[in-house]
Amino acid sequence: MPDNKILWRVSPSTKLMWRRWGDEFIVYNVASGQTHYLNALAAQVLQYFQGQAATFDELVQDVRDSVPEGEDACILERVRELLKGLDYLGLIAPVNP
Amino acid sequence: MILGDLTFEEFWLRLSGPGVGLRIGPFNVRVQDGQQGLFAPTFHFLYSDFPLLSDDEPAEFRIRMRDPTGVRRWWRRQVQFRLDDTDPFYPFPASLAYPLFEWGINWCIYEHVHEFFVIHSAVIEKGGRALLLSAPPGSGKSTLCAALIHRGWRLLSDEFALIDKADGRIFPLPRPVGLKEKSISLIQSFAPESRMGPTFADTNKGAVAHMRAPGDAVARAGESALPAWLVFPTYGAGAATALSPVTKALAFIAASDNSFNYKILGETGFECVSRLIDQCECFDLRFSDLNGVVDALDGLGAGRSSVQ
Repeated sequence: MPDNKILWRVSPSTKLMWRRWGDEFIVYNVASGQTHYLNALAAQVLQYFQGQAATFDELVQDVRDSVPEGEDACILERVRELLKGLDYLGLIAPVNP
Repeated sequence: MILGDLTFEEFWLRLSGPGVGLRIGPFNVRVQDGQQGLFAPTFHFLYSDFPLLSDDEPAEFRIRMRDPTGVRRWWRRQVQFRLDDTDPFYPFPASLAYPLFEWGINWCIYEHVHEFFVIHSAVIEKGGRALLLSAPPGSGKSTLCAALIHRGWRLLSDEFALIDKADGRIFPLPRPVGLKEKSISLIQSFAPESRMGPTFADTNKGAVAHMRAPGDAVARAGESALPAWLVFPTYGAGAATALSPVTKALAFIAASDNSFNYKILGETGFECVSRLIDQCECFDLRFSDLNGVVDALDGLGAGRSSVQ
């Protein structure tokens, strides 16, 4: 489980190329040459970390703010899994203190 | 002048001398030797409509179908596919010289051609709009392609979509259509007018034969086409024909997976797939019956919806 106080972000040196069709996104990591298929929530999280460094708690709050009331029941678990997934794919990384 | 303008004797003299140079799609190819098995008569028959190069015209691919130098040649005649000064494959039995040549040409293209964005795909055209049948080997794309070009579609390629990196148009690469196993007799009965070369049994892909590319497709090899439909076919024994829309993002993943140089081209590859997906309607296709699937794909070309 990620430490809720760790700061995460997309490395400033990571160039991502995006395409969107409806609620589906394709992101290409120029440095790794890897292509990823993202749903809307995953894309939202990745774009959030492109603009800033943030902790898990801050991310959850941002996602909660954008999700209609009543649809945020499992949001904590979903965001936690997304964070782990994006870290595993090398799309985000902890910010060195 | 086309290859068919040469008598077989004239062709043989060139083949065993300076080589026979042909314009094949956007490439110049020169072939020498080829005295093994049925290579020469099969090559002469299948490439009869292709434009001849003059002896001093440069070629991107210079190929020698030569006898190998190893000791095995003393007890079984073999053939080696040589590109310039390299031997990319182990020798084949001499009887399989022609299939080796076709596979060797495929290798030349997917290993060396990066001036185009290249997808593993059959491509046919109607009304200036191209339909890509993109799939790994064994999915039935060549069989479908062979059938459709006998139902009013123009052959662009049965193996490669050569996509212009600047504008996304597809360049024709009409060559003989490679068919395997049951597809050979299937196409012979579906299109009795098709002109088939000899069947080569016992290749590592089973029995293989090549259908001659229609003369009109070869003559129009300079006419590119805009991609309009991207179809991912899968043959399933007994499967009902089902043409189902696939989302653009999933089509992107499939198209990039089926590309030979997506990763090599990097950002340009990403842009090429993005544009292709924007240009195309995308479908998954399950099929078993050739008549049914030809009708369904013909419906696309005619603007009729037969989507399930």
